[in-house]
Amino acid sequence: MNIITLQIILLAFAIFMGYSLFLHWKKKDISNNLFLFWIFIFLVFVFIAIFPKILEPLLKELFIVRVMDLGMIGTFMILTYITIENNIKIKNLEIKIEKLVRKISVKKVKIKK
Amino acid sequence: MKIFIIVPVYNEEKRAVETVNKILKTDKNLNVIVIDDGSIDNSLTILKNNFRNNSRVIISSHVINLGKGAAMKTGFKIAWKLGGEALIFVDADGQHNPKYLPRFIEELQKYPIVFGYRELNKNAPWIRRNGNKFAGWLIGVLFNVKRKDLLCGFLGFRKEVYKKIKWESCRYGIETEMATKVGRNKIPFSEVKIDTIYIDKYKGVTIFDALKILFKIPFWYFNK
Repeated sequence: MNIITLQIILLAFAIFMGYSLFLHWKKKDISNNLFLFWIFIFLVFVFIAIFPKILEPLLKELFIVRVMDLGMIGTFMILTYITIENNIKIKNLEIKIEKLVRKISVKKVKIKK
Repeated sequence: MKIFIIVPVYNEEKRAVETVNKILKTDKNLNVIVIDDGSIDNSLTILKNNFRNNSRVIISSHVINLGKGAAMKTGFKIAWKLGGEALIFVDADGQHNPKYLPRFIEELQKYPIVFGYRELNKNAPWIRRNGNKFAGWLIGVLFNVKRKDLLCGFLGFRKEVYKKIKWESCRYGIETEMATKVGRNKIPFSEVKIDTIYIDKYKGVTIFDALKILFKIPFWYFNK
């Protein structure tokens, strides 16, 4: 696989993600601001995929040999952040659901005579 | 002392009624709180039909399944609401023989918390026996608490200790979490020997639950 093939795959991925975001925006699943934020992120992604050489000064600064390595490091950092955020949010949601379910359950109790 | 017996139920349409009846027979002063934890079988309907006119049985339910730990917490909330001073948890599947309830009640007069323990002999599945032993040893070392059977869910406590042992585990792991809090807060406890009954191979704590509990131990250790 040469660099052009990889670039095509990355572009296809960005277009797919952009389309998915567009559908969610149309269905009002995400706000205008959030939609614009993600579109901006994917435009940056597309730009870097087409012109990877613009990262070379940064690579030299960080002693990283390939753009791909930088991409991997960045990806892991972002994924770790998202995982922790999601984990906290899910935990909080679980606690809220548990409290709500318990409230309903305790309320339902009728004392028989 | 007003004591409630809490029976968390999840998909136990065949055994729950029998378990509750056995509990009622052990002592005429005992009241039972049954918490159906969002069963997808007919447990709730069957329980309601059987105990509709029985004033000693209170039935409530979760609209969705939350897990045993959550059902136990709901049970205790209801017990306190009804003026309970102590409670004992009994599994609905028949693993816990209610004939030991008088012993638990006796011990609860002397100790704020009472755990059941099973003799982990060769009748118990190998993985459960050794997993339990290992977890017991690990909790003992980390939290300075010696328990004969860490995973036994037949236990009871008095109202005043709840704040110290308040658990966060919704699913399995509640017994282990409770043991860590007992150790950390140096709460005196007693242990009552009970029968070793394994009803269903595929119910109860699985190897995956055990691994999840294992991963939670560092969290409990550092979460002071």
